[in-house]
Amino acid sequence: MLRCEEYVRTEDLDTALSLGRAADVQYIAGGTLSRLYDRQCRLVVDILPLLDDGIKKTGDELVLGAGCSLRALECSAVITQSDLGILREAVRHLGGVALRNMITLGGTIASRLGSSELITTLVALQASVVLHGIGKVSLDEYLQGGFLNEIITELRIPLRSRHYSLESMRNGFTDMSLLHVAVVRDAADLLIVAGSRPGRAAVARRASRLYKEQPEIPGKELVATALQELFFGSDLRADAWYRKKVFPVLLERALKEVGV
Amino acid sequence: MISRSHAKIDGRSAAMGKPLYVEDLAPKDALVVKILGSVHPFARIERIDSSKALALEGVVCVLTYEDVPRVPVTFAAEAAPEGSTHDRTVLERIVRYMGEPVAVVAAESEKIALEALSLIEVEYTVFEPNFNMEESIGSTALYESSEVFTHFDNGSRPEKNIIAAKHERHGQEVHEVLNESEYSVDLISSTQAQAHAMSETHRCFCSPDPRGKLVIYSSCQSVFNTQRIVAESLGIPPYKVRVIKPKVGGAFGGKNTTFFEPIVAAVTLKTGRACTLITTRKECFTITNTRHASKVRVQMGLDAEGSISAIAVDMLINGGAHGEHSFDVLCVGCNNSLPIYRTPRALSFDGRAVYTNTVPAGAFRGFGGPQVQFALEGAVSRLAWDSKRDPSLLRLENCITAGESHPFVSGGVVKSSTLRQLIERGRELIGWEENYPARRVDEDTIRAVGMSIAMHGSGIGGLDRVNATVSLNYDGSVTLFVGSCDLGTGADTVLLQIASQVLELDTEAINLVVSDTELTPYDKGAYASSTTYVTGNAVAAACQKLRTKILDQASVLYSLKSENLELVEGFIKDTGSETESIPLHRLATDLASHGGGTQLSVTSPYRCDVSPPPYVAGFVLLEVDTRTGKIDLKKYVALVDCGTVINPALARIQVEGGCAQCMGWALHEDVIYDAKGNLKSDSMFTYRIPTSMDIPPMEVEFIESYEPTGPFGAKSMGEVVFHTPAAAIREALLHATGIFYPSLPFTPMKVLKGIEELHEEGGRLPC
Repeated sequence: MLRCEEYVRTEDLDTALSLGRAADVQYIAGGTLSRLYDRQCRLVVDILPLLDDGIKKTGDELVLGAGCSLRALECSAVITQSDLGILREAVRHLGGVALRNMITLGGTIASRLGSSELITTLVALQASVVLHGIGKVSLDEYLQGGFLNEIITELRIPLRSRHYSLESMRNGFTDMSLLHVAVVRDAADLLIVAGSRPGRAAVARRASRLYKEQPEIPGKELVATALQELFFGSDLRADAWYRKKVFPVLLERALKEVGV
Repeated sequence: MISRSHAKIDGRSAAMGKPLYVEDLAPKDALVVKILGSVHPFARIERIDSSKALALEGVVCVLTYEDVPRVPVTFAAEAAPEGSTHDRTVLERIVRYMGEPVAVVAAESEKIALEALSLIEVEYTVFEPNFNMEESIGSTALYESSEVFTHFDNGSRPEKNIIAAKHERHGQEVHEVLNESEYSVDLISSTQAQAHAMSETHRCFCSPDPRGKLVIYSSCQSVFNTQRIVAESLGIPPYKVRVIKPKVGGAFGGKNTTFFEPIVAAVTLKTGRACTLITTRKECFTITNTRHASKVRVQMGLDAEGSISAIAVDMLINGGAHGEHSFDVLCVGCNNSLPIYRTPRALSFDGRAVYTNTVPAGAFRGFGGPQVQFALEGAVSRLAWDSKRDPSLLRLENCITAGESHPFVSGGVVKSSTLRQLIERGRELIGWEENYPARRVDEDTIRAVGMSIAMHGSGIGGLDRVNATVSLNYDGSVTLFVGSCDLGTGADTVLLQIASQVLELDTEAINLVVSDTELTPYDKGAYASSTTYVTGNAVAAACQKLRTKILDQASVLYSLKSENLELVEGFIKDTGSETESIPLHRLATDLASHGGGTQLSVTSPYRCDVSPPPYVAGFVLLEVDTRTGKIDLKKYVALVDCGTVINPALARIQVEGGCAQCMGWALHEDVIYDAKGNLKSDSMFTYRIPTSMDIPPMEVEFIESYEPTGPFGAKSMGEVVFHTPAAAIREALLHATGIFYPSLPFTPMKVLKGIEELHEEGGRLPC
């Protein structure tokens, strides 16, 4: 459990942001991860009441407030109508309904957990985050390591016709996946993103580019390229050799599903 | 009332969140107790300085090894005298696992207590730890011989790191019979430790009563043994300690070890204040106990006619840093496991439990049965595979049946069993004929069936002693007093049903006083699958005696012939006359007032001389993804003989829960340490137990036998229901892949590794 000397809720995001820039401060936006880890900090700034939790279509984008719960995302008619059922697939293994009622979209993304199937899926969907005071940044760029003390207010997913697939391997249904891969194909692009390697979600850029250059390329070559360019390691859930062995299987199945 | 699904008497209150549990009942102004754990897996404390912690405002006391008696005890809350190796004190000077309690702080708040922990200075001399049970034998001893005590020779050899040992022999020499056998196998099976992962972590509080007695509320499995251990470990008389068990939020054997009650008692003794100790989930993993990890070698022979000719079991278990329950686990590994099959011509059991510097092992549902039966059933699977026999038929032909004797079974003979019917019915329900052994579903998937059979005991034969008291109150209601401990299973409800059946009274008219050393008669507690069978027998006997007394008193009071009297549904009927029946409440009131001031009360003991085995046959239908190693359980069938089923609904959830718990052990649960001895799987995030989403559709059926020694023919069922899934899954894996997997858990990684190795060796999948 996260322990702190002081807990505050601020009137607005500007104040939260100025507090968050100081040392030894933790934002919370749902607080579920904070219950898992035994940590201590000086100040906790609870930003949840300041975050929009709406899900709506705006122009050619789906706009999700950072405060929306994973359960809301799972049950949203707007998401279903937008042909983004893959988001439901990306969260349904996470704990139970009660937990998904507490976990927020913003909190999930800010955690940058490598095991998050939602993050991997959103990268594959070429989503962007909107950071308070900064504006729109691609999720892929956000995950590279910057923007550490910034606050996510929105997530934007471009709406377009596409095929997608999420393949995962896990020891138990509600356990974190030990490897997963999301593949999204639209008229022009194919994006392959792998998570639980166990590092953060990573785009198989060479394989994805290869497809763009040669749309008729056999799936096997894409698999071989992606396997070569991504790093796979060991952790409590699986060894590197297993991840390397199973990644091609998952990717092959995902590619088949998106028609490659 | 017997064979009815009476609702659990406290189920609704629990579901509504009523204050029933230890933490709900703790005094709000109680001191908060926190524990400082060792940062080394094996070390001697050279200096411990609590002065800075004590100087912190709000800190009331700090205890270390210097504040507690140095007499070795065991925290195993079982029989008295306890057979476990006595090797520890409340707080140790030599710590033998990472996180072992070094000091205890009691403070006015949790925050202060935690801050105080950080102010305690400890200097250690660090020793080389040993985490491997095989390497530990004969290497640096964890204990001096003088630090260890046993009530009888349980095989303890501390100088060799042996906690306990057990050896049994029957019939011819094993190797001679194996040489003569048509087929034989010699296999080693390994099983990992398992965490109990109960909902409610370990917790207790202690407060002084007006006479200075220590009143302990504890989430425990035995109030009387807890009382004894607190008294022994602190050097005070048991009558100065009262232990009460409120509702327990799960235990599974984990709370059959008295880790924390002596600590809160010591704090209250020192401060005169109430104090509460609630373990965190991490402490529950790191400080308490696990199932014994094991390595079990089974040699088994098969005659040309298909009869099992020889069984030799060599069981090695990791007891970790302390000796609680290791001897008992070996005993159950032998006596509650091997008699599942008819006595072979050669039979032997060798068991050793070993000290290492890991979290202590202890009691866990099954108690040696799961480890040995996984290995034993694996040998049967492999024998059948090698000899091209159907393993279900091999079991059908070799399993023990009612009326047969066995040298290792309690009482020497099996008096009740429907095991053969269980196997036959299970084959039907799983679709054995259609699915055996395996078939390919698609390019990547093979579907297969597997099964296993299991037994256990009902209480500890020759050892368990309990009592039940039942009183007729002035208003015609009855009060049942029992010292047993319902751990959330519904055992209290079952005891009420038994009383209700004998007395022909509605359960609502029977009050229940349970689990309180001051108010209830002696009961050994809830372990060894015993409350229904052992305490249930005492309750039935006490109620029967009360029934007789009621009729005798009615005869005297109302001048009726006692031989004509019957007690029927709350009325005393005189079958010899036309007179109106007398309501029981009238007799009770008459007795208590003008009739002579008598309150009828009966105490009946029960000596558990035998431990009749319940049986389970478990069948699994599963699919294996041969490219990822992932196992997908499609269906599980559990057939159960627990004698008469007193409460079908409660019995069914025991079966479902036990099977689910074993599926977690079989497929993914694992207790993992790093190289320094730190437990890595120390949260529900890193130690995953199965959820309902992991459990396949499950069919449960009971085929009742009638156990002549049981209450209304009942036997136990709490532990036996754990045993079958791991072995059944392994058998199905063997059918699907042709590979005998030697160790649990069957993670996708392990299964795929086996398939990869098969391919590398030029082998092929069977279908």
